Formats: sequence, C-alpha cells, structure tokens
Amino acid sequence: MNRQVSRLSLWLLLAPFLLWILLLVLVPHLQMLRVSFQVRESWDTLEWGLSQYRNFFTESYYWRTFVRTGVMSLFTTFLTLLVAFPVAWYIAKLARGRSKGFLFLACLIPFWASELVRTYGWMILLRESGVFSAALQALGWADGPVEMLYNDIAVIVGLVYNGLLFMVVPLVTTLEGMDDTLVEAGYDLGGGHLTVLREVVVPWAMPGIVSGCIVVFMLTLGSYLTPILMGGKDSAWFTQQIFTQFITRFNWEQGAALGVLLLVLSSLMVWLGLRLTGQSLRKVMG
Amino acid sequence: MTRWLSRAYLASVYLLLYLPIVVLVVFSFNDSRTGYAWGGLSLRWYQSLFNNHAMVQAMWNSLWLALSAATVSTLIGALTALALHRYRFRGKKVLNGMLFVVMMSPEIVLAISLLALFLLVGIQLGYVSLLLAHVTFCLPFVVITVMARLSGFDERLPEAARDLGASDFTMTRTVLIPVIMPALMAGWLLGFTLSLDDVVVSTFVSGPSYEILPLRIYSMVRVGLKPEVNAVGTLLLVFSLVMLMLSQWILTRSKR
Repeated sequence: MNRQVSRLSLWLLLAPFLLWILLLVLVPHLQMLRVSFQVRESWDTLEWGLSQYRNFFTESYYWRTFVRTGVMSLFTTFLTLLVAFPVAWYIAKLARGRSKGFLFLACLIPFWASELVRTYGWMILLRESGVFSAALQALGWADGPVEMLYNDIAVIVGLVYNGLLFMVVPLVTTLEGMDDTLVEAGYDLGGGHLTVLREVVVPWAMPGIVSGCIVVFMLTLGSYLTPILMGGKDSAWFTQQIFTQFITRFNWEQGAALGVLLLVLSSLMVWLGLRLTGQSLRKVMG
Repeated sequence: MTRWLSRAYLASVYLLLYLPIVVLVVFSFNDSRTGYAWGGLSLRWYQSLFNNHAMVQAMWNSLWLALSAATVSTLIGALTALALHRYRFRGKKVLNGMLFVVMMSPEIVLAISLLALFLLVGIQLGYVSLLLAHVTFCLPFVVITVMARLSGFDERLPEAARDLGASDFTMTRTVLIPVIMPALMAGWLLGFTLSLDDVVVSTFVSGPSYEILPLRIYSMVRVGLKPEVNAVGTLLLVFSLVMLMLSQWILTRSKR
C-alpha cells in the first residue's frame, strides 16, 4: 500500500474519535477551567481572579470535606485491598481447574448489576426496618430496631463493596504470573508466613496492588451515589458539594473550581502513590 | 486448619457479595409492604410498575437512549480500535493514555463540564444532550473492549484472502467482518449496559422532556422505602445479566 493512502486511511479512521474527544472532552474541560478563574462582580460582569480557589482554602467547610473525602477514600482503598487480597490469593493459587474459573466468574456477576441497584440492596439490608436489624432482633441480640444506615461505616461498607472487583482482578492477574517455587524457596530459606508475604509475595504483586489501589481510590473519591444514599447528614462527600454548587446554588464558577480541584488533587495523589511505591503508570496499567 | 479458615473466609466474602442482590430480588416478590416481613409470594410490585404510565415511558426512553448511545459509540469505537490496532503512528501512546484518563477521571467532572458546554452552546437538555454525554463516557470502554478482542486477530488472514484473489470488498465481507463482529458485539453490549445504568452523568445533563429509568429509580430511592424499586431493580439486573451473558456467549462461540 502506498504511504500516502495509508496515512489518509489512518486519519479517516481516527477522525470521528478525535473530533468527539476534542469537542466533548477537551473543549468542555478547558471551558470549565476558564469558568473556574472567572469572578462574578455583578450579574453581568465577569473578571479574572482566584476568588473561587481562595474560597476553597479559606472556607473550612470546603477543604474539610475534601480532606475527609480523601482520608476516607484512602481508608476504603486500604480496606478493599485487605479484603480482596486473600480472595485473589485463593483464586490464583489455591483453587484448581473448574473451581478457579467458577470462583472468578462468581466474583464478577454482582458487578453486572448497576451501582444504584447494588446500593439499594445494601439499603434494604442495613436500614432500620431492614434485614440485619430484623435478624438481630430475632436472635435476641437487640431489643428494638437498629438503624445501621446513614453513617460513615455504612458508606465505607458500600464503597468497599463497589471497589472489590476492581481490586480482585488486577491482583489475580499478577499473582497468577508468580512462580509458586518462589514462595517455597522463601520458606526453605527459613522465612515465616509474614516474612514470605512481605519479602516475596508483596513485592511480586506490587504492580497489581498499585493498579487496583489507583482504580479503587479514583472510583471512591469520585463516587456520588453511595455516599449520598448511605451516608448520614454530616457525612458529606466532596462530589456532593460540586452538585450543590452547580445545581442547587447555580454557582457555576465555584462548582467549576471544585471540579478542577477534584481532578487536580486526585491526579496528584495517584502520582504520589506511584512515586512512593516506585511504580510507573505504564507498567501498572499494562 | 488453615485450609478450613481460608475456605470460611472465602465463603463469607462471597456471601456478602451476593446478599444485597439476592435480598433485592427476593423482596421484589414479597406481598408485604414493610421491609422485612414476608407476606407471601406476589407479583403486585411488577404489576404496579407496569400500570405506572410514566415509569413505562421512562423504560422505553432508557432503552432507546442506550440503544442509540451504544450504536454510535460502537461505530466510532470500531474505527478507532482498527486504527490503533493496525497502524503505528506518532501520538499513539498519547491517544492510549487519553483513553485511560477519560475512563478514570471522576464522572461528576465530565458531567459538569458537559452541562456547562450544552447550556453555553444552546443544546436543549433532553435526548440529544443525554446521547452526546453517554457516547462520551462509553467511547473509551468500547474502544478498549474492541481493541482487546482485535489483538488476537491474525493480520495474515486478510493478506491470505487477497493472495487467493479476493477483492477488497470480498475480503472485508468474508474475512474482516466475521472476525471483528464478535468484538463489535461485545463493545456494543458493554456500551448498552453502561448507558442503561448511568445515574451520575444523566442527573446533570437530562431535562424534563426526556425522563429515563435510572433517574426515576434514583429519585424513588432518595425518598425512601418503595417496594416498586425492588421490582424495577430486579428487572434491570436481569436485563444486564442477559445482555452480558449474551456478549460472553458470542465471544466464546467465535473463539472456537
């Protein structure tokens, strides 16, 4: 094939995608960035300025919610890793043949339901008139209805649940690539369970751990439904503030600034996580 | 002992994985209105669902939206995946990276940036704005799904067809399309489910003229306990399961 024809066909194939990304991702994001630096002096005059960003740092409500969201997301990510690791280990190393495939598939199926449906399922379980409360009363462990919904623990339960799959899959993938003799060698050299885990397994699984953690962290930080539906009155999530500014208060400038901050700070934390663990994004994301 | 412990742990994790979904499905057939009391088997919530005209309309709207969003994103995604699969070019890595950025960045940021754009350009909030937004968040997933399926495709097949005297048209019809069709179907079905399930982006870019199902469910859930939600949630679940099983089936069948 002639070089120019090949160039042309490449461009023709790519054009719709590039156009779409340009018009519906790049332009809107730049527009959002621009709006975030505009200050409304009066109803029809706009000036450049940093007052939205100043608001974020001076009004404690904003940055406190952000820090809270960040800390809870980190905690959720860590918890998800703790829950998922043994599951992934079992699937990758202990299960054999048919049961391996079955366990892996069984892990995927709940996530074919939408986040809304899954969250609603948890609400049925945890609410005051719900299944867990009824079970506790039936067992005689509680005298009256117990409200387990609308608090931070409920939110974390929901978030860990939602993140689980995204942690299990990369972990299984990396652990499957690990040679079992490495672990045996670790034991033969006199290592205990913890030493082998720390010195052999974790370093080997690091790309999977980091990749799972990044995805779960980003999902959690940006999640909207779970904190709103399962959280209490004082467990505000940062995404809710963006919604409030944009839709309830119609303060686009502030909402845009919060959106930019969410994007920038989340990317920063991912970058920091990669640096701290000595991984590169390309290696982690395959 | 350890073996027993690890099995117990695994069993409890899987139990918790399935509990919320099983409970939802079971209670959708519960005749009683209260949360946990069992009032006998009944289809009354499904009945009241289908008697609700606005709900049925929202279902049709959602189906139509998902159908069109999946189709548009598969058409664009297929071309993109072909380009990324076949050619080496400068900026390919940037493009690959961009797919990940769009996929990973918080939905809500995409949602507000699109809302601002639509209002600025004067696109009415309704079917069109929803379609544009849904295609945007489906696109990276579709491209990656199609690309993953194409990576197993032997580049020598089309060449062999040509060497055997097939014209471009015949080659495309008898070799290329049968090979990439399963990949396209998988991408389409993924786009369809993503669109059908979306709440966050739709919350921002939908208007009163075009009500869709997930938003209707969402507003019902926010108000409180509504047994109809169990029924509609179950329907949605069964629908997604059927769609995804279909896509798996198409893929495994094509591999043989």
